[in-house]
Order: sequence, then structure tokens, then C-alpha cells
Amino acid sequence: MEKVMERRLLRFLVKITLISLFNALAIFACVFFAISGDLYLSTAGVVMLVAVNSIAFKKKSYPLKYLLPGLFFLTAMVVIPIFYNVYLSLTNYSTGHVIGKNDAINLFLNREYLRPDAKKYSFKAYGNDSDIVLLLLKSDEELLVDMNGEIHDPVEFDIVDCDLDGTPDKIGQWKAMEASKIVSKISLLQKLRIPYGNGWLRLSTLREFRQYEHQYVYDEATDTLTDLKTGKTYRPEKARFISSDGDVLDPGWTEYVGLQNYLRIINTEKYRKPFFGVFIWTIEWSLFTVLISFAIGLFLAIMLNDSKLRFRKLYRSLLIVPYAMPSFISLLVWRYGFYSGEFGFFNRMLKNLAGISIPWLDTVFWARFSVLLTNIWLTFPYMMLVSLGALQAIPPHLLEAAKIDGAGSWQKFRKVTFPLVIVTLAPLLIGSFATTFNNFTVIWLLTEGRPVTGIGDVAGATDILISYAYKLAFSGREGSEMALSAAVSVVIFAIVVTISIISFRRTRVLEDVANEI
Amino acid sequence: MNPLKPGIIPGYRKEENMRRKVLIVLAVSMLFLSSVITATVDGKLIIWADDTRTPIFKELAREYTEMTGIIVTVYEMTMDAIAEQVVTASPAGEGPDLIVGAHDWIGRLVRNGTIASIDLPEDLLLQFDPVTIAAMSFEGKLYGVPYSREGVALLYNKDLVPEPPQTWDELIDITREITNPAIGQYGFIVELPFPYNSFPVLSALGGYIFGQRSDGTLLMDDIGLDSVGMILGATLIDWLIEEGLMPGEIPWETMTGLLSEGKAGMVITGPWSIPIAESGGVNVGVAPIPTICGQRPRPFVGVSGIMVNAYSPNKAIIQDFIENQYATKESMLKIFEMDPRPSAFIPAFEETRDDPVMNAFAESISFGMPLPNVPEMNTVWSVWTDAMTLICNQTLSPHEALRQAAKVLEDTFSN
Amino acid sequence: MLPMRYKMTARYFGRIIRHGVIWVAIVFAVFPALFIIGTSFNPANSINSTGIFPAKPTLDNYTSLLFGANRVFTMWMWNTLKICFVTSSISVFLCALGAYAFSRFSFSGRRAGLLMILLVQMFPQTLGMTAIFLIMAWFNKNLPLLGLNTHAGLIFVYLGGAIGFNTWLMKGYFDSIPRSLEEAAFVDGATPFKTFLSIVLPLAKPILVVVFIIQFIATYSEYMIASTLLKGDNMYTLAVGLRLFVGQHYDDRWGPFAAAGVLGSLVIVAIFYSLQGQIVSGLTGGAVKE
Repeated sequence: MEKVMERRLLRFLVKITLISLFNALAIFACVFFAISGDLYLSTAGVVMLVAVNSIAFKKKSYPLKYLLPGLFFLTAMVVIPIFYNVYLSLTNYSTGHVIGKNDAINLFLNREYLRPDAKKYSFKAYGNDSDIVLLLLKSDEELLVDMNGEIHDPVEFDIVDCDLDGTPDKIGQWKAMEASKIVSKISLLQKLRIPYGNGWLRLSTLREFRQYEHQYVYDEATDTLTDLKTGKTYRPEKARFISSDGDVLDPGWTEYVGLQNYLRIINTEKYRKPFFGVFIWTIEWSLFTVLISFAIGLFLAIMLNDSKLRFRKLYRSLLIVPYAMPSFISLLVWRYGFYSGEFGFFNRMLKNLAGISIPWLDTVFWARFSVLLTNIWLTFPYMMLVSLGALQAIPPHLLEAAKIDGAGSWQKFRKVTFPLVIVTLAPLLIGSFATTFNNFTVIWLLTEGRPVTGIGDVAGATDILISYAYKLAFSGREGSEMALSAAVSVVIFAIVVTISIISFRRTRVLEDVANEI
Repeated sequence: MNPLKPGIIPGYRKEENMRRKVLIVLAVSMLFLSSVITATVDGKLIIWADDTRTPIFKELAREYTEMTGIIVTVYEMTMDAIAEQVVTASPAGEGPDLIVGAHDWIGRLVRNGTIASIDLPEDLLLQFDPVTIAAMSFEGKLYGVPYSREGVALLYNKDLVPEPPQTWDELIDITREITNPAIGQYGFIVELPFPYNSFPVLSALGGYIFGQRSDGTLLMDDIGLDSVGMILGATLIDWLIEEGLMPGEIPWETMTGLLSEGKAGMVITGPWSIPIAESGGVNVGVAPIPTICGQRPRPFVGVSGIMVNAYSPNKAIIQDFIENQYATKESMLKIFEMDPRPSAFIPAFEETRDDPVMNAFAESISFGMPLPNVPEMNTVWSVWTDAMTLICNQTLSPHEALRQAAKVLEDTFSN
Repeated sequence: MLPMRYKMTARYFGRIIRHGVIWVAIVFAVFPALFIIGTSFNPANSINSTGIFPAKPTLDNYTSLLFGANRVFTMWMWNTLKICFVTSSISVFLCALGAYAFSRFSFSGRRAGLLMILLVQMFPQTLGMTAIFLIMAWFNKNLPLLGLNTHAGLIFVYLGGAIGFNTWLMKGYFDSIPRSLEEAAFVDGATPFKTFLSIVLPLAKPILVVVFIIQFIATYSEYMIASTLLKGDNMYTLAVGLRLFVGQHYDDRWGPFAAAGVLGSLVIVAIFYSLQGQIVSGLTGGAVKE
């Protein structure tokens, strides 16, 4: 009994440690996000904190303890980015609007400028072995400052100048420091701001201080930024500071714009028009890939399932090569080695044999054909593997019974093999559909969505929804429209999820039936 | 299902159990919280550079550390990664102090508040080629310190083309002689449809992208994509393709392949292609691009340099690094040695005039115009490339395609 | 009934056709690999030479990868193997835990939860880069161990994406393991966790292997996240590093790229070959075990 108590205590301690570690992280997250104004993430953090702790200690939630570790990573790395994307889609995040308003204002407030006649001060540092205490700044005047930025009157201290070179060797109890000591304190020196005149003195290179002045001043009450150099005032408009004569300041900032991005997708013809066409092609792309590669995979699996076939193992190993080769290598080979119009292998062979060349990646039809061909090449080994597994799961007595009943090969396949295989693999096929639907890498590495269908069209002939969203992110007037792209991603997500849920509903029914057999 | 009840601290009653558990958890959590550390990057420099420039800047960094004792670290990333990530990394405090990049990033980076304007002492400023300073300026302020300028010229395979052509007509004659599609040999190629390398042909007769005022500022509503010069230039290219003298699609990989295998007679490309050609054993020469109807082609001038992160706390160190290590003749010459392009620093440039290849490029660039560094160029590239694609695959005529492209740009920019 | 000899010929013929069809498929599957192998021996650094096999084959590309100018490749290979191995191992364990819960316990939200973890993975992740970058930047400030440009941080991110589908696969397999063994263990006084470790996991070995391999291959080829989070030559994985070979446009190194491709693929093929038997039996969702 004691051994059991010991083990339980140990388990308990381990649990407490893990939970506490997690709590520390979570509390930090909540506080951090709250401080930087990201209330969405902060709330998410609080929710997670409460959930995890209640799960950990309530008896009824025992099973959730098993799910916890996996769920933690899933939430952190997948769910939170989804929330972030939704959040982005409700803002105006794009070129010129990438930081918060407060950060932008701070950037302006930190901007300083040098008057053309700004004085340069060389300096010497004084202190003991480990710290700098005083600085002597010298230009046409001499200033004695401490490390808090206060200017002192030299008469307060005993100045000792042994070698009479005009530069003190000792001030008070502190000796002149060598350059090498100063370098180790460089970060402190850089942070120093000595109020002086209309602005302040700060370190401008490693050897001198100069006088800088604020360029901007901000009035919170009227939300106005004033340029002290030119006297112009700027008011916020469309998330940027604009003056009355149209002068625009950089940078602007991110702000909440509600459903504006979604409305833009619906209302702007430039975005709406391609959406439907791209959507249809994406469905075609996913459907054909999955169906054809599954057909090939299943066919090969049936062939290889015959235990009397020689070289089975060898065939299997060779046939999975497309799956085993890292796709970022094979895709580039397909694109430049095979499909290239003038110099690709396919066209060179075709020219030699038949004198023709096919515009593999250049016309709408052939480009779509080519990407499908390559994707099927990439996918069929996986389908073959899972089909092999599913085939082996068919109870042999069923096939024997069918044979005794006089069924031929095709009938055996149609009535026994195929239904059982489909039942096992349906969810995998749906999953494959969803992955292909969102398969950015293949399309991007093969064609980048080209060929071009029209000048200025954001979408090309082989663009699928996700690559279209990616292009949108960079298609704005000034380069980057990530918020718009995030909105499209959310829409894509909604579509894929809907299709998947519907498919799952239908196949769930089949699955339960199969378990009855 | 489970006969043993988990989670009970042995030896305590139920209610006390709950309380004790909560207290213990809180206590241990606090312990972890207090041990969390924060990181700072004050007092050290971090530079982001791409693979070609990393070795160079690592060398400069090493020297600087020897000189001053300040540690400088150089991280190698791809050009795209630098340009993209510096925008999000910097406000999050994860950016570098300096980035090494191209001048056409400047517009976008300034709009995002990512880079800071730079003050150079007057005498130092004058030691840089004025075109490079103009390229690195945006809306009147300097945002980068250049080290080299580059542009394209005519690279020719000395075995196929002993004498480079002086005029476009001569070029066509040579091309007719050498081109033999059956063995994959072409007299003249240029990367297509991306128009950067072919721009000299498009600009020779007056093509341009944005109109300019006399002081160099760009007029965003004067779009030159459908200017007469541009259309004429595109027609010349289209004609070559129609006549079968040039392939209709020449992506970068194909161009370098043809060049390095000795199957290309003449190529409009930049100094970056020379090592590739030489690695294939090809004997290359460089000449200015032939004149078209007596007019000089005007390639894009690209300027490379360093830019300063607006969020960096190390402004003083950076200023010192720029003034005393980077913008010196010795360093600029070192940079030239490892990446031979016409230097932007005049004293260094003067010392490298004895290289004929370099001189040819420098001459070609002297007629060029800086690539516009405004963020709107992003849209311009994609629309312009679309138009060139449709011209090269013979779908649209040059006039049609460029007119449409100009219209799309006018619509986009008028919002 | 047809005479015996006729039947045997027919069967022989059928067998030849079978082998023939399979060989067609094999050519289709293996052809690009041959192309890469050929390019890897090609000194010309181009991907468009005449013919599959180069006229003057050389081992230069391989030597440059292992000892020469490109020997940073060995670093990338090591990084990738390390990251893939750790990610796959941990994710197998995490998914097994989750799958066990979904399979053995009944609790409210079980069905919804199962659906949720699958659906959540369908979000187009290309734009999630900013979010992940910001999360990792936060780690960088507060828990540098897991921050940007650390392998630990990268593994952390990969684990998130490894949960959904794999848990589902495992659950299917666990469902097919009869509970009688576990029930017997309960009677003897074992906790569910103990039965999980000592009874269920060993029986589930095939599916664990399958998930390990699927995750290994997926992590091996992953580019986007790795390129966002990692900086500097020595930290890169294969996918990111090889991009440097051919993506930069100034110095396309197709020869070393192809050689790296061959070496990289060999690793996976080797793993596949050694674990072949277990993979196939692992995909047997509803095998009858008793």
C-alpha cells in the first residue's frame, strides 16, 4: 500500500509542475496581450487558463487530461493563428498600416532632427573601474553631465589636470576612463538624453554628442500631430496623419474597420469576378486529383495484393518514390526539367519524335492538365498505400463466399471489395480533398497560378483559392493587402469546412453500418 | 471505470484537498513566473544580408569589432525574406539594426515606418555617385547608404560572336546567322516576359514608367507603359519572336542554362551572369547595348546599399559604423572585390577603372535611369509582366497589351 | 471448360500483363527521380541538358555537398533529421494520448471534438505566418529557449500542426483493438494510463509507425514555417537551404541541388524500406485481431 501512495505522490508532483508551468506561460500571455492592446488574444489566454485548470482538477474531466497536451499545441499553433486571421480580416492591415496607432505616434515623437548648425561635442568619460559617472562634453563650451542627464556646474568638483593638456585627468574622485572601458558601456551611453535648449543632446556616433530636437508634438485632446520644423498640423484620416493641404505622413496605422474587407470582396468587381471562376477550378482540381489518384492507387493496390506476385516488395518500394521524394525538389524538376516550353524534356522528345511541342504551362487547358498530372503523380503512392491497408482489412471469408456464389472478378470488386474499401477510406479521401483544396505549395512551385488570363487580373488560370488569397495579399496599390487576404482566407475556410462537414455527415452513416458486419 | 481515484493528495480530507491544491499550484506558478528572462539587443549590431553579401559584411563586421570592440553579427537570409520579414519583425523588437538590400524596397519600407532616414556629413555625401543617392532617397530624404550600382549590358559569347554589334540592325544580322533552333542555339536572348532585362530595348525610343518632374520626383498619374517608345520597343521584341529568332518564353533558369552551355550568342543581362557563364566554360565579353535608330538604350539602374531600422536602439553605433567603417575607400574596394559591380563610392570606383568588363557595365548604366522605388512598383511589375506575357505568347499585339496595362494602372492609382 | 494448357497460358499471359501494367506505373513514378539522378552527375549546372544521363558524368556535385563549397548541406541534413525525428516522436505520443481518450472514454463533446480537430487544420495556413511569427517573437522575449531561430521553437510550431489528422488515424486503429485486454488489466488494479502504456501502445505499434512516417515526410518537406522562423546558414533545414541553391537567381546551382535531392530522398526511402511491413499492417483500420 505504501508503494502505491509513493507513486501517487510522485504523479501528483509531476502534474502540479506541468500545470504550474503552463499557468505561468498563460498568465504571461494574458498580461502581455492585454498590455499591447490585443484584447482578443488576451481573452483567449484567460479562457484557456480557466479551462485548463478546471480540466486538470475536476474528476469528471479525466479524459481531457489525455487530450490536454495535444490540445495545447493545437490551440497555440493552429487555433490562435485562426483567431488572429479573423482579427486581421477586420482591420485595415496593409502597406503603411502595420503598427498600432500608439506605436505610430511614438515613432513620430521619437523622430528627431539636427539643425544644420547643431553643435558637435566630443566627450571624455570619468568614473571608477566599473561605472561611468560623469561625462565632460566639449565643443565651444564645456558641459559636465552625469548619467541621469543632469548638467552640473564644474565648480562643484575638484578638477585635476596633471599634464595640463586642457583635458582633466580627474574630476572629483573619478578618473578619466579609457576608450575600451567606454565601449562596454555603449548601450548606456546610447540611451542617455541630456535635456538642452529646445531638444536634447545624445550620442550621435561613438565619439561625439550632438544636439537633437523633437520633430513632432502630439496633442491627445485634439488628436493632432504638429510638425515643429514646418509648423504644419496633421489630423488622422483613413488611418494616416494628413495635413490640410494633402500632405501625408508615413507610417499610418492599423485600425478596426469591421466587415469592410468582406464587403470589398463582394462589391469590387476586380476581386469578385475571379472568385467564382477560381472556386470552380479549385473544386475541379481537388476532385480530379483525389478521384484519379485514388483510382490508380486502388488499381495498383489490387494488383499488388496478390501474394503470389513476384517482386512485390520491390514494386511497392519503387512505386512510392513520388511520395518519398521531397516535393520541393520534384516540383522544381517537373516545372523546369519537363514542362519548360522550349527546353523541357517532354517537348524536346516530342519534337524529335513527332515534330510538335505542347504548351504545357502556357495555355489554360494544358496548364491545368499539367498541374493535375503532377499532383496525381505526387498523390497516387499514398492512395496505393492506404488502399493496400484497406484491402487487407477485408475479411477473406466474404470474398470466398462471393466466389462460391459464382461472382466474377468485376462483380466481386463491385459488390464486396469496393464498398468495404470506400467505407474505411472515405474519411481519408475527404481529408485528402481538403488538403488538396488548400495545397498552396504544388500550385505555387509549378505555375504560380499562371498562365495569365488577362492583364491586371489577380488570378491566373491555375490559381486555386488559397493562391488567389496569397496574391491578393500582395496585389494592393502599394503592395501589401494582408487584411483583405485574411478575409478571403476566412471565406475559404468557411467553404472547406462546410463541404467537409457535409461529407462527414454522409459517410458517418456508412461507417456505423460497416461496424455491424 | 477506474477503481483508484486519481488526483487525491493522500492524507487530507476532501475540502481541504481543494484548497491545498489551489495554493500549491499558485505558489509553484509564481516560481516559474519569476524565473522568466527577457532579452535585449542593446550595444550590439545585427545585420541581415543575402548569400552573396553575407561574406562581405561578415568581413566588414569582423574588422569593425577589432577596431571598436563592438560585436556585429551577420545573418544570412534570402532577399525576399529580408524585404518581407523586416516589416513585421521590427515593430516586434525582432528586427536587425541594418539590412543590406536593393533601393527599390525603400518606398514600401518607408511607408511602413520600418526604416529611418539617414544623415550623412556633407563631405561624405559628396563622395557618392549622385544617381545612387537619388535612388536611395524617397520624398526628399535619404534612406539608404549605397555601395554599388548595377544594370544590364550586352553579354556576348566570344566564340559565337567575335565582334559585338554597335547597332540594332547589326544585332539582327548576327542573330540571323547564328540562330539554329534545331540545336537549341539562339543568336540573341533576353529574360522574358519579366521586363527588367528587356527594358533597355523598351526605353531606347522613349519608353518610361512614370513621368518625372525636373527635380526627379515622380508623377504618379503620368504612366508611360503605353508611350510610343515602349510600344515600339515591344514591337521589336515581338518581331524577333515571330520570326523564330528568339523563343517566346525565356525564364531566368532557361536563360542561364543557354548562356552557360554556350548556346546563346548575345544576352542582355547583368554582371551576375558572368560567373554563371564562366562556370560553363564560356568566353564572355561585355559591350554596351546596341543603339536603336541612333538612340541609346536606357537600362534600369539598381542600387544596393544598407538601410537602417527605425526601431534600432543603436543609432550611434550605426552612425559610427557607416561613417568610419562602411563608407571608406578600403571597405568599398573590399566590397567590390567580392562582388564586382560599379561602386557607388566615387573614390573606390576611380580605382577600379582598369577592368574592361566593369567599364562596359558602367558605361551602359551611365545612360540608364533608376528603377522607381515607390511601393506602387509592385502593382506595376505584375501588370506590366502580364502584358509582356501576352505579347510574347502572341495572344495580344504590343499596342493592345500595353494600352490595357496602362489603363489598369491608371484605374488602380486613381483611387 | 477450357483445357488445362489453355488456362495455364491464359494465366501466364495475365501475369505478364500484370507485370507490364505495373512496370508502366513504375516508369511513371520513377522517371523524375531518374532525371534528378542524372542531373546530379552533370557538371553543367543546368537542368536542361540533352538526355537524362550526362555525357561527362562527375562526382563533383556530391563532393561539393559533403566536403566542398556547399558542405553546409551536411548541417542542413543534420538539422532536418533532428527536427523531423523529434517532431515525429513527440507528435506520435501526443496523438496516441488523444486518440486513446477519443477511443476509450465517453465524454460530452467527444464527437464534436473529433470533428473540431480535423476541421481546424483545414484553415489555409499560408497567411498564418504572421501570427506564428508574432507568437514566436513573444517567446523570443520571454522564453528564449523556444524563440525565433531556435529548433526547439520550430518543433513547437510543427507539433501544433501534427495533431489533427494523425489523432484521427490513430483513433480508427485503436477502435479496432478489443477492450478485453484492458478490462482484464483494470481488474488487476492498473490505472488507465498504465494500460495505455503497457498494453495498448505495443499493440498499436503499426499505426504508430505509420503516423511517425507520415509526420516525418511532412516535416521533411515543410518550407514556409521553417523559412519564416529560421535565420542563418547553420540553422536552416533542407527545404529552406536548398531553396538558396536555386531560388536566388544569381547563382543557380542545379547540380548540387539535384545531388542534395538524391541524398535527401535516399534517407526517406531507407526509412520506408526498413519499416515497410509495419506500414502496411498499420493502415489496416479494421483488422480482426482476435
